[in-house]
Amino acid sequence: MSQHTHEHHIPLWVFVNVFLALIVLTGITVWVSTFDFGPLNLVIAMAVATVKATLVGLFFMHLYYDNKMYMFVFILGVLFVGVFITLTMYDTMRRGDLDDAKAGPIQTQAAFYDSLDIRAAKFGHGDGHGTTGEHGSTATTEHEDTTHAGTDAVPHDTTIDSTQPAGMDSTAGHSPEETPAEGH
Amino acid sequence: MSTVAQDASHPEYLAHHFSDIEQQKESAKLGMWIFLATEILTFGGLFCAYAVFRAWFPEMFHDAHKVLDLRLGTINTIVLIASSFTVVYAIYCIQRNNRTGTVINLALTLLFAATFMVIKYFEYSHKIHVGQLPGHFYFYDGLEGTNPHLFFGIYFAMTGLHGVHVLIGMGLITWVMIGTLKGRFSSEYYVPVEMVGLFWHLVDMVWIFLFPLFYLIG
Repeated sequence: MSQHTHEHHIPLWVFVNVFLALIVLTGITVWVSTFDFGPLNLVIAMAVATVKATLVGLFFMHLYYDNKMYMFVFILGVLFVGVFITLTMYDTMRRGDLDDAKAGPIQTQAAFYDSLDIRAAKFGHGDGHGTTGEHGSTATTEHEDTTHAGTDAVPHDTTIDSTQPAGMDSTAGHSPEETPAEGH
Repeated sequence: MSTVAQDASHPEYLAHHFSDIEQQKESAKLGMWIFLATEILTFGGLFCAYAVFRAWFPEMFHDAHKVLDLRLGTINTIVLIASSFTVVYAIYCIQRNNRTGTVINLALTLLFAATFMVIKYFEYSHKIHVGQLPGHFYFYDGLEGTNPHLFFGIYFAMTGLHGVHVLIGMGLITWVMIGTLKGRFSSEYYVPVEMVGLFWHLVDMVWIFLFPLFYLIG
């Protein structure tokens, strides 16, 4: 019985060495990141991280000494994450093969950038939005004091506005052809 | 019944449905590793989101990652590695019936974990203050790239879920520390200490990947 419970007595120097190796590898990966290797940056950083994670798994988590069933279960989990990411990216990265328009995200710029909050933060609260004079900021200002009601907006704009929940900015409903004009 | 429980071959901490300590320990470990595999899958979904959006907006990810504080990220990495070591040391001590050593190392682990969370708190509060936030909460104006709110959405989701794991781990470590103080664990029985250790190492392992993905290469 007692032989069983003492079988995993790994000497402390193993853990000390692993700890030191992890610190050194952290230093290396931070140092390497100060250089630009182009696409290799990702490969190097992930390789170092994988070595570190393997050290943690093999020694700190005792996988090297334990029943290999545990390692199998764990690697299976990692493997399925790999399958998941690979298949997802095979979809998102290859959409352009079928239709150029679908190569990237359908809308490249999020609609909320035209909302008042962003503009107020970017162009300042106090100066009455006069500096920009763009359609987006004027429309949302009117929306704020609730006198909007389609007085000067095109009817189609108002229809979309009415479907918005209260408090949501009106420009989120703008048709996509209006938004690209206001790049950031 | 009580005579069976007090029998030397069937001690109190051995559940009646296991034939011996070794079998009980192996079962617990297998269960724990299956749980850790599901944890990997949980984080895997977020890693997938990271991969997809990084591939779509490589320049934006590169620009946005520069606003993260590399110094704080590196300190947190070292703090977590140190906490992993103290957990290993705690298990090393309990295997040798050194309960004082176990409690000291678990307390150090808690200290490191708290340090990690305090640093995270400063990072988060700074980002909340300047508006480096997900979705339509975003109002930071120092980034020119396309959709930088996506970077911060993924950043907060991944480091947030990781932070929740750190907090849960702190609770578990406190629990086994109290158990050790009460004398529940010994070199004959320390399965809960070891399982909590495994969980803590997984938390460290996830951070080992989060750190380069966010702070180093974006």
